[in-house]
Amino acid sequence: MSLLMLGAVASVTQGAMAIPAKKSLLALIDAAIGSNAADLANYQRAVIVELRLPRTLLALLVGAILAQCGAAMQGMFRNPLADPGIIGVSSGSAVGAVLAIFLSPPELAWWIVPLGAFAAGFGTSVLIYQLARGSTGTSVFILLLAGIAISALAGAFIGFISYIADDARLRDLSLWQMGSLASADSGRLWILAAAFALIAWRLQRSANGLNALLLGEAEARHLGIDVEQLKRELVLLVALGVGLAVSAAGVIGFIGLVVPHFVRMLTGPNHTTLLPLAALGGALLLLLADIGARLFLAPAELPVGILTALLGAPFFLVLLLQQRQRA
Amino acid sequence: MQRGFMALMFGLVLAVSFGVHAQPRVISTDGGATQILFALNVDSALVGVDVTSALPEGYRSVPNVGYHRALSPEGVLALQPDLVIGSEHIGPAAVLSTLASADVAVLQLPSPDSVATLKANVQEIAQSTGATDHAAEVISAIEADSQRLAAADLGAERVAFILSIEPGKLLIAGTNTAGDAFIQLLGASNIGGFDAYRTLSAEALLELNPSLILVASHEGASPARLLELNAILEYGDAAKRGRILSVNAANLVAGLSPGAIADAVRLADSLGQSTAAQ
Repeated sequence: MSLLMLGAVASVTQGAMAIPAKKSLLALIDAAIGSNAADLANYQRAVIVELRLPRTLLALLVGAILAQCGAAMQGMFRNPLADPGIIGVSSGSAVGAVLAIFLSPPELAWWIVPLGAFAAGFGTSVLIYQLARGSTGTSVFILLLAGIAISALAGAFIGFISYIADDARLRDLSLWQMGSLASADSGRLWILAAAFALIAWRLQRSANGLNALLLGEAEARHLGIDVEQLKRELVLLVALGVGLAVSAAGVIGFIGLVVPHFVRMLTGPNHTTLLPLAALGGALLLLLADIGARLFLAPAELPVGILTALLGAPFFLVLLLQQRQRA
Repeated sequence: MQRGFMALMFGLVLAVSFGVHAQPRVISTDGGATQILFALNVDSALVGVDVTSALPEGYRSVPNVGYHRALSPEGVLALQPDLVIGSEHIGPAAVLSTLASADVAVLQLPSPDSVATLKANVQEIAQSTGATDHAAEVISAIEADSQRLAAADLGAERVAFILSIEPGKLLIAGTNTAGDAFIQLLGASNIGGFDAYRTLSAEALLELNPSLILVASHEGASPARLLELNAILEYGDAAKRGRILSVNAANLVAGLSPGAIADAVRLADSLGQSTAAQ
């Protein structure tokens, strides 16, 4: 938690523009209470209050949501490799966004693209869930296979759109697919904050159910868990969370996979602690990645999705190797 | 008297707004605009460029602000520019609003697809960087070059402009591309009757049988390499007449540029010579 605070302070005070850290923090207090203690030029205040602060909050929210959704998916599938990408939610969202980038006039893209991403992501989850539902309940196996099929289909579709798109849109498409937190604004932040509160609350309530599922579906049923109801709820929550996260920040990989896995290695598989710790870890990782994305090539900016993969993947490998040596 | 006073005040305002710098601090986020700044001899004002801007070899290092559609608002502002020049594609939207709130002037110009637009852009950039005395010179040089191109009379040429030369994946310029603008500049006709860039196989290109093939040259792409990778093109008219030529791709990244005009003249001259030799 203190790491997270430290990260947030670093995120607000560090950037391409050199502004003294103390003044940056004072500027935030100024913005909150309407004083003028920081004594900064208008544009410097704008950089901190209108650019760095919303970005920091967006990184925290998106990171927390993605990691929590990842933890929930891994629990539900009893598979540490599961992440929201695996049941096709991310690729569904990506199709919606790509279609929106391709079809919408550029001046409307800023709101049509997120809307498209969310609608398609949500639609995909519902579709996959319907496919997997049979007379004997929802089959995790079919859910997984349907996810893989939908991902493949989405990949082909995105490939087709990329092929027929003109150069400018092609460039937009590929940039969008690498993820960025640059589009933070208060509207999106409020929606994400509300979604995060809802998801965190509902998932926490499902923690015992998820723990029981670790034993196996039949065992969970014997323990009195309504497994169908639980799975339905998890799929919907993940669809909501991932759809919104993708719509706000594009495709940001690895957070949903690496963070819950890492937390599980540290604290064990109990979802009561795993879920909130994953949220903290996801928030921290995305925050660090975004600071890196802004500073690494400054004054230019890297897509943050590249950084999460760069930070996350090697870390993940080292952990796996260490675990293997111990075993 | 009053007029003199106004001029004095205006001068003061300018001096204050540009601070201690004699010239405004300029960021160019467009390769073509960067070339125009060099042509106008105001390149010393550059404090930042984007990835499409090619600086002359050995030139002082200028910070790179990244790709013009994905600029970092803070990164741009950190260079403390007085003026940001870019095309209609400059973005994301946050950049424009941040620059506006910091009172940084933004000059958005269309990507030139014709000599007329290019001249207009030169005029605009000259005006906003205070280089008006050089503008007439640059514009008349462009005019002289385009007259030379008109005289070269390449109207009968059916041209294919190839952006990428991988075997079986030739990226050919259709309409509304910088490659098409270049062909128009030569006064020739484009064999690519489609919109934007499209991949064709070597077989399809041979079937279209252009009389002139232009290869956008960058590292690893040259007329010789095109034939090496797509040997079947040897059977086409362009190869038989020795008319597979290279064009500097860096001059066409952001539409027509002064460099592209110079390239076209060089090309027209060499074509004229080869016709005379035949």
